[in-house]
Amino acid sequence: MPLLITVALLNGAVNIINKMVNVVAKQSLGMANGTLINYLEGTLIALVLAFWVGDRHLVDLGYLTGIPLVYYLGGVFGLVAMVLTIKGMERVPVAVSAVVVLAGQLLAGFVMDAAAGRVGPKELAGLCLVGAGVWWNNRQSQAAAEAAATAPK
Amino acid sequence: MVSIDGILADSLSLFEVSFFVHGIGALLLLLYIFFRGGGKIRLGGAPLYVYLVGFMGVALVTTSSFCSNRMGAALTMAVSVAGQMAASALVDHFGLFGVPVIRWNWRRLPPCLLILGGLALMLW
Repeated sequence: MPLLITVALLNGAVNIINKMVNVVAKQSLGMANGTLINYLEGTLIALVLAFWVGDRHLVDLGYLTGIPLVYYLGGVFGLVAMVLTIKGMERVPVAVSAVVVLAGQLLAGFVMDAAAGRVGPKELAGLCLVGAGVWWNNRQSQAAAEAAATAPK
Repeated sequence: MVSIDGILADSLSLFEVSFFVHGIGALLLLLYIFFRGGGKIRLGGAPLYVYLVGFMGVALVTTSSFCSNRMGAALTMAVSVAGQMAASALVDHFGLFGVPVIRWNWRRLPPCLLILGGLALMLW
């Protein structure tokens, strides 16, 4: 469990850096091309890594078509989320824009686990506390941003 | 996205999931550029560190699917959210990537403790 927690924590940190770099990519190359480079690189890197470690499902068309189509929708959601996030981050501080995304992520995690019957009262209470902390932190962040903006230079 | 990727990881390896997540996104973007975006593809000319996004993208998809499959989507998301909050605070505090500087202050400690309390409750 400590390894999983560490990996998930690092996942969150890399997520923010990735979003910031994507904003720079968009500013340098434009929205479509800046996002495209992320997806093209990701496709090639994942393909190389899959073959490198010996995964062979990608060349088995019969196996791939047997997987329900809806399972492949992660790419569509990811693309929509990235475009919306980049647009949002241009307008507000990173901690504020992140909070909107975070609430959606918590909700999605809850819905998926609830559908699988894996959410008990303890998990629900924990999620609510995390959500409340995110909201509270957002308020403090906004107050700090306003104070910084009105402070004498 | 993470949750659906976690389900796909039941059938495919983590790198194969990442291939589809990125491949489908790339295909949709190429269609958009050809039919709505003037058909011009330009990938050169950005700062060098921008070209690391592909590695980060694959790392994000594989690690989130890995964790989601083993400890559930809710806990994965909650821990990832804590990581995102910490990274966001660092970016704002130091004004990284050209964002306006917003210094971290002690008034933001109680919300952080609340988040940690929520995580502790879920893990307990």
